[in-house]
Amino acid sequence: MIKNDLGHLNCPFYEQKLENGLNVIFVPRKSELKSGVIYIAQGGYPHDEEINSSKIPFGSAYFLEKMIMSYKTKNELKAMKTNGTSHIDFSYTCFNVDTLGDVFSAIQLVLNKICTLDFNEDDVEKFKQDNASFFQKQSDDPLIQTKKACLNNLYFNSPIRNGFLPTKEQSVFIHASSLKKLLTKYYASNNMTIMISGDFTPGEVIAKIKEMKVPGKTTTYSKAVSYQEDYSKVNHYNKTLHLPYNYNVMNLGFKFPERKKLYDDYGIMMFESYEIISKVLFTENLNFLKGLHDIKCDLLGVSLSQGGEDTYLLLTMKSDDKNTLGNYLTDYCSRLDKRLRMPTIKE
Amino acid sequence: MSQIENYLYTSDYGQRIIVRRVFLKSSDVVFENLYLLAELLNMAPCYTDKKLLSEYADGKATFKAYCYGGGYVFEGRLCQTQNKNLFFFNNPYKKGISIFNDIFELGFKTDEKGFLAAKERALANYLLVKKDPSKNLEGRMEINYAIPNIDEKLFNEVTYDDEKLLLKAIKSSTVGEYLFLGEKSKKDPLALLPKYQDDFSSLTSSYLPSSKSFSSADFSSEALTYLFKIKEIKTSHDIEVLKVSSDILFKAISLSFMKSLSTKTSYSMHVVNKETMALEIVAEGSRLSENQSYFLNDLEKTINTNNADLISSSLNDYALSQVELTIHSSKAIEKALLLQDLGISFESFFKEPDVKAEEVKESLAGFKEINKLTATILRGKTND
Repeated sequence: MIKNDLGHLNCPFYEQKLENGLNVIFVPRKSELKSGVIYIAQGGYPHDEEINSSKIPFGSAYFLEKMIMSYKTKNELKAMKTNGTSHIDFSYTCFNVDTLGDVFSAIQLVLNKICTLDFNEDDVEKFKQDNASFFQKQSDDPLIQTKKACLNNLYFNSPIRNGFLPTKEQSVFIHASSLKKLLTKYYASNNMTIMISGDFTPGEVIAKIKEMKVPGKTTTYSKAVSYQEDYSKVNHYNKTLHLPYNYNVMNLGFKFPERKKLYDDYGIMMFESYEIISKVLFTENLNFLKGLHDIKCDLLGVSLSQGGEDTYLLLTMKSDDKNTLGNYLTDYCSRLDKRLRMPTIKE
Repeated sequence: MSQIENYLYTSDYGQRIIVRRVFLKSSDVVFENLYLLAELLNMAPCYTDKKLLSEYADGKATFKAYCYGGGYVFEGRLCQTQNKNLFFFNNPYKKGISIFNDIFELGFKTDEKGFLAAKERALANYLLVKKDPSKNLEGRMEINYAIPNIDEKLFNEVTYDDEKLLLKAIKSSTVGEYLFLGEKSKKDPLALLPKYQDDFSSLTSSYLPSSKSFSSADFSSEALTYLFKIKEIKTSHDIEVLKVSSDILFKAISLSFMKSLSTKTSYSMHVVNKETMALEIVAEGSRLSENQSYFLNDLEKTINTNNADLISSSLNDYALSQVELTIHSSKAIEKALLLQDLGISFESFFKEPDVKAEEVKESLAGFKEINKLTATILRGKTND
């Protein structure tokens, strides 16, 4: 494995790409705890309209994640004294295992679920029933509705404006067959990274991973989702929704230029800045927070999300006086470049 | 008196945490003042250093106040990132402790507007506690770490001067305790902090909480709390066995709830002292009050803790909790504070021997119910 180091951080990691395309990353760690991650480079952002002539319903990626890290899988991991969790975003899906026992067996168990397509239509239907209230919330919850409305204001056509979690109505169209097609295309060794952390040597890790059964690459035929998006302006500047909620909420969205243009103009380091941008400008910017506090507003959340060519930053705030908050945000955001101080960034 | 351990050396969390707890007699301080002081220190801490605490290894200081051993505790926590390769020119940990000390000495800096804002925030936080039947019951029982009932009128009347006087009382307290979690260093990490005459070892041993069942219109769920006399806790392994036993007991009770009333439940367990434990069960909706007689008379008869599946499930859950202990520093701090409270050593902190089914059965057989309390929904009006 090739050793990498993050400068002076004393945090080396090792990386190797296997012949089957599987990428392996190992982070040595002197600890009783051993952790493993299966990272799939495909999230909830819908890239495909059809795979192998089958339509891929909205929300399929989320369902697929839950079918792999199902209650059944979690219970099997629990019997191995291992904690299993999963997470999906627009651009990736992660399956995590943490254990004081054998992390490689735990990773293999999850890989087996992928290799054997260990779910069927009954499992999908049961998941729909068990989580009916969650899916209902996606269309009924006022807070979610305002966020979706803000994204619809930002984008004309991009699929990112719909999020990736299905509503109850959308979940009806999701079936095991389409999930299996999505899995066949994306849950393959060439689209996968396995990360291991624990008290091992790089040689031990790579030997163990090479012994594992991993899902191979399969040829699929797909029809990509196509859309036209104008990145020079937003769809609508504002919109007011009258919804039953305990307090007034305002969302402010920033639509970034397309990723390709950002890469061409600023290079790869541009994307590194995403790690800190919401912190330095909003969540840990004392001037911004003090200003909000002075006008009796609370910052409920900030999220930076990206999928496909699209990236947005969404701020959610609570306020009784939307005009005062609106004026404050206009003032603050009109000179964002002046809001950045080098010491804050270094911090 | 048993020796209390103050150092838990580990590099697993990449963090360095110092917990400072100061004990105050309930006759000497008003809890409303203490509760507000914690919020003021969280919002506007005062210290002499020109740089922010967050500039020293991402330092954060947090404060809280709670019941403890028949009195109150004022707690401060200093949390910093631990990675020596990040810092070249200064010692951020020394600076962090200096600021932490300053906050205990100098208190808060805020104008009247900030003072009122702190009151609003603290009260809003308390109202959440008040609406939670389990936490409300804990507070009325004055179980360790619970927030007792706050008189809202009294709270609104707390003045700036009251808080300054309280700060003096905290400074002059002679009973205090420290906990350090982090990587071992050449110098004692607690050396720069003031010493206390007495530690916490004598405070909890004889204290037993008491309260009555009650109802409130503020609740949306209901709570049932059992106080059990248990076999004396002597080692940290005894606590682990107790955790599994109470989990099995809860699961058995939960099954009875679900079978008879189709009600979902959750629970928490508190070690009150070496011989007493509280098991708090929260039930959704108002099925508990609607079927009070059933719960008081028949519930115990339907509980079956001698179920192999339940025992196996709880042992698996326990194994997972050991994994979580190595992931989350907050869980390690919680465990370490409990061990400190009971005067038990940290020797086997991360290497607890496996809990066995026989030990659990023996522990369960030793549970003797002392008291049973409910916090239920009151229809029509508030009784507070």
